[in-house]
Amino acid sequence: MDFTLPKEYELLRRMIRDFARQEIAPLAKRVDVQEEVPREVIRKAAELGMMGVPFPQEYGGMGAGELGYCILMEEIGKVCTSTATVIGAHTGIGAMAIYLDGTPEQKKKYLTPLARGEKIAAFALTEANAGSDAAAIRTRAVRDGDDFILTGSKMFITNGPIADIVSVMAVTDPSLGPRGGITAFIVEMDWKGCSVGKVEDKMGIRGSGTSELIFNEVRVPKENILGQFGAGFVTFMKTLDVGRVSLGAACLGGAQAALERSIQWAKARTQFGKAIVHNQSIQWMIANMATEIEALRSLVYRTAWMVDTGQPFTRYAAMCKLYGSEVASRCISQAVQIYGALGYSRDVEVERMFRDARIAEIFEGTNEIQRIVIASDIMRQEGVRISP
Amino acid sequence: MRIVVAIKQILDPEGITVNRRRERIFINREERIINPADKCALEAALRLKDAHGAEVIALSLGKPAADDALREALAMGADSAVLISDKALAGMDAPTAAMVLARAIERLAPFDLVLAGQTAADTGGDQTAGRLAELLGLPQVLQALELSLDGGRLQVVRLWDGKPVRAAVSLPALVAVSPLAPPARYPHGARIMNAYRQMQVSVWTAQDLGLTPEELTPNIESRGQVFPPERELGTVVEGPPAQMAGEILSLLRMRRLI
Amino acid sequence: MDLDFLQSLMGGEEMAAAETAYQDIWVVGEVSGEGLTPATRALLGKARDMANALGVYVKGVLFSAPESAGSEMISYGADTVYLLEGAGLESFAVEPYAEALARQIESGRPEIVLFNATSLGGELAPRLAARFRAPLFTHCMDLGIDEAQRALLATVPRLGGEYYEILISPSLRPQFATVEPGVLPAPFADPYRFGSVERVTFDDLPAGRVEMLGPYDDGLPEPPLSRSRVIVCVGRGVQDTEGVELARRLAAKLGGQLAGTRGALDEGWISEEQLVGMAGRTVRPALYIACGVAGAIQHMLGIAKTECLIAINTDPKAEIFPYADLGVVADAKAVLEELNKKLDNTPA
Repeated sequence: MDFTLPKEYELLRRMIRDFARQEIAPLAKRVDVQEEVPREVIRKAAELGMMGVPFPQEYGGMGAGELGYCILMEEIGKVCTSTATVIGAHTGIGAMAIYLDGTPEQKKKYLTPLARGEKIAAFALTEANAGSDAAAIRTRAVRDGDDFILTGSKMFITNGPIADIVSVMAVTDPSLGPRGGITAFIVEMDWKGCSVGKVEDKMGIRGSGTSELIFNEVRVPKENILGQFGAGFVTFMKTLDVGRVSLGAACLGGAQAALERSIQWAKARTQFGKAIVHNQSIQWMIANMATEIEALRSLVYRTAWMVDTGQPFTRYAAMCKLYGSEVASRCISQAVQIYGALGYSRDVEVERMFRDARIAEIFEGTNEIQRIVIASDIMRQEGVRISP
Repeated sequence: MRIVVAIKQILDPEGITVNRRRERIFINREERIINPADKCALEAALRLKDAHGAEVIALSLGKPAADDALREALAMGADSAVLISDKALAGMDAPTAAMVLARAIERLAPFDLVLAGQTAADTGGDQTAGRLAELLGLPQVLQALELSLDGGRLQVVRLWDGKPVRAAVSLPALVAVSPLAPPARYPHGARIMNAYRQMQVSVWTAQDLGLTPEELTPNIESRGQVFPPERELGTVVEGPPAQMAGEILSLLRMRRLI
Repeated sequence: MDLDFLQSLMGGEEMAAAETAYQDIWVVGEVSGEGLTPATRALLGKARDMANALGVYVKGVLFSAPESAGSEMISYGADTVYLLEGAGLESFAVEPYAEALARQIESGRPEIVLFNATSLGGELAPRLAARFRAPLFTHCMDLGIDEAQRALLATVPRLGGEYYEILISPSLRPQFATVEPGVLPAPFADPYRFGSVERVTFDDLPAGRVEMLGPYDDGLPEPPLSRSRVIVCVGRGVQDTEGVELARRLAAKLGGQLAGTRGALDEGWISEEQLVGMAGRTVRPALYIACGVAGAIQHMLGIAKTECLIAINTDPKAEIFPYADLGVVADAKAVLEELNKKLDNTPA
């Protein structure tokens, strides 16, 4: 059983780590304060292939699979959660939906510029009345000849303010419910009727724009139906499923960064005549953090391997997201504690990381939903059907 | 245009700490990297390739692990890579290493330009480039910062005793690139994947280069390590500003900082 | 002592072995505006000590230099000086210089040839060493003699000077070495020392193929602060923009860059890119001069890897002093002014 990372992935990790440290980390505070990830950073990342890591090279991607993508998200997650979120929503769910269920023509037309970072993607499912209860969406797509007229609004959409291409879930047959009544569409935001609504003023990941997307009788051609007509639920479940693994990887990065900063601080800070790293309480905190991070690391990368080798991974992906978000929150909170009063100051990275981390337990399916997914999967094997 | 770039894989000095009091060297993090000055040399070659079109051949003399350094060079944009690796070449001293490299570069003829890093960040060695130039019969420009091509003539901005000056040389030539030259580009992710999955690194042995055991016998020995004294911290002086300025300048001169 | 005279006294054949032996220590010198460079003088002093231990001569080599420089080499310890001159040697070009020196070495057969670790030494020494299939020790911090093996002991820096290694080549000759300027002690000149200065003229040297075109005036881009070798940092203690300007000028004179603390940023004296510390850049310069900086941990974390820290602060209890190689209790602005003045007065 060989746990070593293939060499190309080691070099990839090193390249991304260097890029993250040199190009992104110095800007992390500014990203938070100015509430924007500079386009320049996205352009530089795109030039190195970082906006399409898991996608095949024939569609402009890097060809590095879920494993490569988790490495990217971990390394970026270490330095700037906002940037990781922008890339994550773009690659992990926005473009991913097109990769998983798009026709070759759709992949050529849409996935390629997205993989190259020439355009930005978003994934639009959530609405005011449909969060965890995703099937309760009301955005309507009504047939009109060969086209569909899309009307409705989506809420809390990551990359909403900057997206060019959006994978939108809409109701095509209200009588059928989630099974058969929802269809996914690829929508271009410069089409007539598309607009960006309210931009959220958030606690954290303030550099990642989150907004309302408004569709006012947008004409969507039938060529832009994503996946099977009426099977939109399946498309978005599949997409969210795999998206959870890399989100776990981003959380891993945040937790790792918290641990490293805690150690650095504990070595430097002296109280009562010695560095606080010599206090057993601090040593135990570090040991606990390190242990959870190792467990999360094994979980995330093993799950990425399962994705890349075509094995069923739904349960494990949910675990990555559930455990990852909680480990990140615990580690970062612990880091703030280790920093003491200084940990509460905006001068310090861990303060921002603390605010940034909280969302991970909520978006991409709340942790409560993740628990239901895990339990359902376990019970299915036991022959018991759970309904959410 | 054919450019040969000689690169060396080293242990990242960032991962090594020296404890002066205990007189020991600790490897905290064992990571192998391309010697920074050699990476600058690769970057210089790739810039010439971008501007004028060129075939860039990366060459390395080292252990089998140096394959990773060459893959990184390929990922950055080198067209081909050659690794000289052989048990017979273990423990070479600087003169022997230069001789082996020269032999390999000759085998890669014809070429227009040989680039190498000026200094090795681990050993501090900076004689290889000059030795190569002599062995290959090439004119040399050392401590180069920027290279550009003007007709068949290479224009170089280089350091001379710390000050930038301009030089020109007709090809073929050898240029040693300073670690202060522009840092290397990041390798594109898809090329990283392909460098390992699709491209090849040729491996040459001592026999391939026609090297005899006598030629490979090292002649330089080490007589051990010496550690500088620990930094003495906490000295505080007080006095009128002019005198204090004098104290500061004395220290700077003593430490050869000015 | 003239080897040829000894030879004629003792008969040709018995001295055949001695004839092929390498002997004597040579110093390749450099001349600046006022005669020999200080590094050349120091090198001669060391060569003289080593030659005395071995019982051999010191010979100096200069390129296109005046007779007076040759005499100066004698006064610092050389017994003979070769002034190499001829077409192609008027100004530095490595190929004719290397050829001339190589021919001189072939005829003189020195056991040790020393250069300064300047650009001249760095260009010549490797080519000569390759030519003679000889060892070369560069940037030596010290030189010694192993008397048992009659060989040079060279102390070379590793890991950028974090430690040193002592190297020896027991059998290959000549042994070449370049010595770091400023590490050897300044010697005394003895104007009454006796020696000979010989002009050696070359008329068939190869042409240099590298054209030196003069200084590069366009200015090179400044490295990012994290790669800067010299940093002058301002804290609130420099008091005002005048103090900041003095710090900036000092940085320029030292070939370094200006940086600042959080306090300086808040005062508007520096930009965010110049902020050093936890919320800003981490730096690792060879020299960091902290002016009016208290030394709070947020700042100190950014400069943990400084090689030489000098702190100037009016408060003798400033947190920064225990971490400094030199702490100066004084008004930072005043000291900066004095530093600038003194550096302006010192000739380059």
